[in-house]
Amino acid sequence: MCVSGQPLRALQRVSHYYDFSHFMFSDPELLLGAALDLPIAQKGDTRHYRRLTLVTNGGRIEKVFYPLSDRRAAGNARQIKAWMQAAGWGQ
Amino acid sequence: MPTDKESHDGVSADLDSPRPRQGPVSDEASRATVETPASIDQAPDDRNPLRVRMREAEEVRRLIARLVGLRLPDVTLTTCQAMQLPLLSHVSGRVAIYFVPGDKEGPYENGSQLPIAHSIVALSIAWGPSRQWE
Repeated sequence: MCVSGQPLRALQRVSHYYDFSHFMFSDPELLLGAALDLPIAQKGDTRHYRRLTLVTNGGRIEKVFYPLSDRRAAGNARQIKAWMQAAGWGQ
Repeated sequence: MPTDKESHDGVSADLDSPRPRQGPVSDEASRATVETPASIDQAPDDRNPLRVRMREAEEVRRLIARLVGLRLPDVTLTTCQAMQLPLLSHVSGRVAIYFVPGDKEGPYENGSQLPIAHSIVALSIAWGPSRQWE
């Protein structure tokens, strides 16, 4: 699943545009980030999450992937998938 | 000639005396001892790439150490279908939560860039359409 600080409408547009089926949560107030004190980036007046992945098990954080390069986003996502497969996910 | 136990300009050291005993040191305390003093952080060579990278690596290490083992908070977020959903109700079992930055590197729609499109494309390529990771 994905969590983004983008407003709901932006997520709906991009999800529809790319026929993206993974769950997406809009968190424009960065509630989750505030609760966990996650790294936040600020551009002008807007704040958004830094690229980061949490792997949770039963609601508890088991693994953190950070930092993830913006330029190698696809490579990072593959790295995460490879870790999950090695950990026995999706089997 | 001064001996090991004699004073040098008011500073003395007794090399034969045992070290003062210390109690157990907590992780936080031990980390605090290796922190760079603020005066050094503000030194002109603060832009030294190596120093910057070392500091960033230390911050990352602390972040990961702090997060692993924490429980997700009970926050309610909005799904793409405009449903208000408690996050914890959706994270049974193992779940990967990808935090998407607000980048604007994707294609244009109606003259404006689609935010997070870059990240979504990357995830689609790597994870595929399946929800097996969720």
